[in-house]
Amino acid sequence: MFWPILRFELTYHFRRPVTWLYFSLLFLGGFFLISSDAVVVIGAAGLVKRNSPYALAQATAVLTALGTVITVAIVGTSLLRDFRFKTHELLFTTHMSRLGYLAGRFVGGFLVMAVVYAAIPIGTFLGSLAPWADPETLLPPNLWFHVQPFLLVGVTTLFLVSALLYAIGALTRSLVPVYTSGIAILAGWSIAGNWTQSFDKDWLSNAVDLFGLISLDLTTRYWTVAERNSQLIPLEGFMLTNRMIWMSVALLVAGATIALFRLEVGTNKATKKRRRAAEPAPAARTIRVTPSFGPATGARQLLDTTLASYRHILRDKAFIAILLIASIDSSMSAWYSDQLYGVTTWPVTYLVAEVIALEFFLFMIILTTIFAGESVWRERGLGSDQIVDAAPVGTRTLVSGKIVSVVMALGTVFMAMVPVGIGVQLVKGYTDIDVGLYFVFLFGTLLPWALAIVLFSFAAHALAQSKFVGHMVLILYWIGSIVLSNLGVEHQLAGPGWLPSFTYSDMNGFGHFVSNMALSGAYSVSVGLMVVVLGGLAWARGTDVGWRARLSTARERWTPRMGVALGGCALLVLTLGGAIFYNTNILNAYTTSDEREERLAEWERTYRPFIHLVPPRIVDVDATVELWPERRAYSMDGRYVMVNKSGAPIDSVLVNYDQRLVVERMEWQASATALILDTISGTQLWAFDEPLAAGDTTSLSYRFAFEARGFPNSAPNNRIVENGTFLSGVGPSLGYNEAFEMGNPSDRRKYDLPPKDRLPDLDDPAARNNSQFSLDSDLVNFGITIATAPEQIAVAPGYLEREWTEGGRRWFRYEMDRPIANFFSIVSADYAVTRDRWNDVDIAIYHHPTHDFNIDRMIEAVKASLEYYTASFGPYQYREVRILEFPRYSSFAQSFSATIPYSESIGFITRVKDDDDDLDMPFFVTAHEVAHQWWGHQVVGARAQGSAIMVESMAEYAALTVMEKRYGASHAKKFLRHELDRYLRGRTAERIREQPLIRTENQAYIHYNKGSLALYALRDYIGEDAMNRALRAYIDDHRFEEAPYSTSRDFLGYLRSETPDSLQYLFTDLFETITLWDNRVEDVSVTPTDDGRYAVALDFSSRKVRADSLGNETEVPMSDYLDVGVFGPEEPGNELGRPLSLFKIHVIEGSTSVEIVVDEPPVKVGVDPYNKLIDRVPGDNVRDAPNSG
Amino acid sequence: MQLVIENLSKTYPGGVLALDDVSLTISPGMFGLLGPNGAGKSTLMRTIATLQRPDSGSIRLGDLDVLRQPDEVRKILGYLPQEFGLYPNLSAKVVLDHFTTLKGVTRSSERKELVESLLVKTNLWDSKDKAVGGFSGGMKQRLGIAIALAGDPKLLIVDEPTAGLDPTERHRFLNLIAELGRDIVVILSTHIVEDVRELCSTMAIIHQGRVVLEGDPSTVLEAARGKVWRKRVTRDALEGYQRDYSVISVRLQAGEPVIHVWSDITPGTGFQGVEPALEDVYFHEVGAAALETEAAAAGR
Repeated sequence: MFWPILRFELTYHFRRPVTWLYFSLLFLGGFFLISSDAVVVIGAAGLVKRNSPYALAQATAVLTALGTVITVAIVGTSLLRDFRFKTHELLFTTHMSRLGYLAGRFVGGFLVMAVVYAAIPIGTFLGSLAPWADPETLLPPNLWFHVQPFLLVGVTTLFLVSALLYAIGALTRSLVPVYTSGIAILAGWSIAGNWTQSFDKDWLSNAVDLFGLISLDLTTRYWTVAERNSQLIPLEGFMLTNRMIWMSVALLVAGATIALFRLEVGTNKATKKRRRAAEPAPAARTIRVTPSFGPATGARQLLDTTLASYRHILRDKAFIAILLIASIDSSMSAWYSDQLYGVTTWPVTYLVAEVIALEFFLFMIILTTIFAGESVWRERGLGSDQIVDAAPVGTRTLVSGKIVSVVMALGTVFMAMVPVGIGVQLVKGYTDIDVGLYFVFLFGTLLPWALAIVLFSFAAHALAQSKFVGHMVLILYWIGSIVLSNLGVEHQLAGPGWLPSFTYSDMNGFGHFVSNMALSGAYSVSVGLMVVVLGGLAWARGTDVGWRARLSTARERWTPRMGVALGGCALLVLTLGGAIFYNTNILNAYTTSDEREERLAEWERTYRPFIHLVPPRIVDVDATVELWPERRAYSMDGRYVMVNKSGAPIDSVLVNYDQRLVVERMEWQASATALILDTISGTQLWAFDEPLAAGDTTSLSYRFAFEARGFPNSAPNNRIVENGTFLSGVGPSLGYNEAFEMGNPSDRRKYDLPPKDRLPDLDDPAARNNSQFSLDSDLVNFGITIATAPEQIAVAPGYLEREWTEGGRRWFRYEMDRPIANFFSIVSADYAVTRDRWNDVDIAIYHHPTHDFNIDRMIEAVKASLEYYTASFGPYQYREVRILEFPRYSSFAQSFSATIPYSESIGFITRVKDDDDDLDMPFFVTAHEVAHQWWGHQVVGARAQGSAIMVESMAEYAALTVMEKRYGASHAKKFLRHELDRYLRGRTAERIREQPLIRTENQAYIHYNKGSLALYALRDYIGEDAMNRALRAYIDDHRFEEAPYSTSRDFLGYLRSETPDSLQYLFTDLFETITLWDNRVEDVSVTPTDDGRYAVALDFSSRKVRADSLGNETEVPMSDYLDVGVFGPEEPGNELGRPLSLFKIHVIEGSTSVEIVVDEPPVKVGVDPYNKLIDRVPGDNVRDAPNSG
Repeated sequence: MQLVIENLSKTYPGGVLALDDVSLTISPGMFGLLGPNGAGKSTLMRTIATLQRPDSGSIRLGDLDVLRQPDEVRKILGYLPQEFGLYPNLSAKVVLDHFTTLKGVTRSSERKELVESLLVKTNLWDSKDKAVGGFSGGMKQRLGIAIALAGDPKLLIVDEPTAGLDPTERHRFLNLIAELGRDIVVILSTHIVEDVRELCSTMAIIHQGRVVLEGDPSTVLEAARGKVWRKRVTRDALEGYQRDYSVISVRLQAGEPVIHVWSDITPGTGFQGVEPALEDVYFHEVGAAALETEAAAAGR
């Protein structure tokens, strides 16, 4: 009986149009993923091609996971169909075998799904042939690259999900469990993934991943660009284990289904009912009532309709299931909301509330879409539509009641989320809970959109001919709005229901985002009201749902009152839309991101010819800045003194400024004529009437003004805000700056711009003319006067000379007593200030009053840093160190002279629970920024490749060293392991080419992560004293230098001179090439010696490779020194344990054996156990010692 | 208050002619609508119940134009559709209370009494707190009847109300509406011919969208007197009789076919005249085609 059932199943599905609709959806998904910019390609970043095996594997796995929804519809319901159409009693009484029936239906459904899913490889393959696709982002077509991931992760996942859903459908014989387990599979996967990730155990994350996405990531996380572009995902390692686990699960489930399924008609479940004493029936009598139909009745009917529908939703199993999943997901997210950038923070209310609100947004869309549809079609589905429609109740009442009930159900869910969030906060030991903020997040930010989405959904379902069509319309609306925004339609008016982005900050609250949020929410609701009024006209009442009948009903419903209602809604839409338009297009210039790119390209084409104009160099900066945080406005009145240091006369100067500013004055001391005044890009070209002779001085006086007017369509200016202003780079700059050019190679191709270098060549002598910081200055004298709101403190580099009140404003005058880099910031907020001292240096932390969690750690870090850096690198040049908190609109800290603005999100709410286990990130970041006072502010390299070593790598290394001194080597190891992971991951996403450290081109994964690894390793080899001698000598020779500037080659020269000949190879490996090691313990044995000690025999293999800029590796001979070590038992915060013996041995490539005798029982043994060298498989460097008994 | 239906016609998009120039005048009292499946009974009842619009024709209920003033009609309407479902996870009492509110009984004390009396009358009192989802077909049907009766309707339309009821409940129901039928217009459609004879003061048979017979059951029976003849025949001869006579029904008695024949005169030897039953009139009117469909329906 297997074959006929299989054949029937196939025929049934292939004859249904919806099967081919699913096929087309997946086909289009695959097709546009490869061929179009409107869809973001998963896995293809930088140099990884869109149709590389890696990107295709990712795309296939993600589409397969999303396709669970389709599997629910096809396989999950295949048995239920028989029950729903009530054919099961007919079928089960034939002589069909149970196995044949079950297998036939299952194999049929699975094969249909496999055909539907084949649309993915077909789509991606045809997409790669599309004539309009950018050929630079594609590999030559290779069909196997498309088919292999389909077989590896597509078909296997499909089989598993099919088996699960089929089993649930077969065993429960009910639709609700099938649908909810579809959602549960998706949500459960994400929850399990998140949850296991926190354990940092790869095998566990791999095991719980039924879609194979985590396995893909684990397999390929350190794959280089070249590998991603050429290698298929092998069925081995993580992937093999994962597929084996889940295929066994699938087979088990299939077996269980066959064992448990009975060809019987299910009996009704015994109704569990509370036993209640039977109420005696009152005597039958006829009650005469007089129904009344006034406004009061209408209101009562509305209330009753609402409550009935509300009760119905709350008791719906699907609602309960989704709610449960959403709550679990939200509480998981809330639980992990304190994990920011790999660091634990305090679970402050806004973090938890924001995560819950954002996490819930998707569930909200699902809930509203489903339950708006359910409510609209409920009576028709149940068959009570005729009774309701014949009842004397207004159509408006019926529709409104349903709408309100769905909104109420959402509100109920929101209410349920509040205790979830508070519970998480309390469990985590945080008690400063702001309950009101939860309500603001959920009801203030989320509810208007919920309401709008409910209204859209109702309108769509009211207009649709069936629930299926209604849902399709809504799904298309959501897909359409995503595609639309990717196609460059970015105006918020175009997408009612789009949530504008906003950021809450403890310092600034919802701040300047409020007006946009409020208007946009009201606009979305008003559009919703309008469409729902239109939808209401077409609302089907009665049994005739055909278009003709509904049109004629609509005509009858079109009364003057309806006209007024619709007109009112339209007026509201126009008014609110107009208000938004006034803000985004009149008060602010509206530009799309495409237009902004085009302008940038245009700027480059127009002004690049002026690159040869060498500007005079600024030597003196003074400015008066009046801040009006209350109305987000400021003016800047400044003066530059400049000297022509170029050695030749200067006849013209290019001046750049932030184009959002209004130039109120631009006056040269020498007489000059403006040749170009370009307010769109903020560029001016001035010609001196008399060229400025070499060595001559002139000055430029300017006045800029800025006032935030309403809100723009895109991200607002977050730099000047009510509380927490942080301005930098606000003065004009001189000369053409290549750094502003478009950097992304594919964008440059799109605008026909030639390829560009990220930085001048390391060996280009002209590059030495400028420092990394500036094209128009070396060191400048600096003074600034700032006015701000009376309750705020404004701070800029320099010593406070005077503070006074004038005109109701609070004024500050700061002056530097020595020249500094032309690089300053202005910060203003209502601060609490904590002060301390180290020797003669004042330490001050300016922070938000409630953010006092880590002030002590920061102060301790400043002191430890000053102590170590002064001793190692030379004296500190200022009398002050200040740290200033700014709102979380950005999350970085930045070191200006003696002044360190520091984001509220990265150190101020960080939580260091346990000094043994947790990395003290506030301490580390502070030490890093303080290190910049030497590395950056005392010495700075030329604007050339590699100079970031002297600034960022050195700051990272210095901070690591201070942290190691404070917390011990085990902390350093833990930190380096993170650095290694980030370096190895970073290089896989490279957009142009990976460089060796000596030539790093603003590549963060190189200058931070690899930089600290390389410098730490070097110190380990040559010793701290030699290292510090070299560093100090470099600083002494180059402190406060002006052009010509030093390069990374010069810097490494100092280190080389302190390095013995035998270790000189390190410079080639660590700095001058991309070198990776592959060290692995092969065997460990332990023999007790006669004198009660332990002889450890360690066999390990070693290999060293050089990678080119794409990650193609070539093996090179080794003659290196490597650490070998034997370790004792694990200690708190030190997983590796205390070293019993640790020394370096000379190693050549291949196998090495070494015997080490230790006094105590060995627990772990390893080669390069601290992962000082870059190794793509760092985990196999250490192995447990066998029990020696 | 009279219900006057004039020249009602309706063609469905598929081309099915559901109502073909139907005109009926219905006075207060019980009105029985008979007809085979697909005859247009439900279309007619839904049209009167404001749920559907005809292509042409008019319906008046007293002073009300049913097609133009559906909202007014609904205020005095009780309607029980042929097939329906109710909110499965709500209790009978809550469901009935909800519909009673929708019918404009908004004073809660009044509504409570009404709901209770209806529950008692429909014998649902003991099940009033059970979820409707667990109801048997008959219980559900009774709850539907309670809903239709709520709100003191002046026009009660019940489509196949006794289907699925056991004999006791069927009688209980018929008595219930017979009591109402004294003052208001009650339209009852059924395929149980007996119901009509027992209860209805007037009746109509519709077939293929047309009213083929209209009148009160006793007059109709009187007119048929002397026209119905009965004969026991052999199986082999059956085909011949069906060809030669107007056979209105064939029954098997002890394995032998017994035929009823419609004839104004004595049809021939072996035929004996019988007292006409309403069923004979019905079968005569709707013809052999209906006979077959009825038989199939009965066998389900």
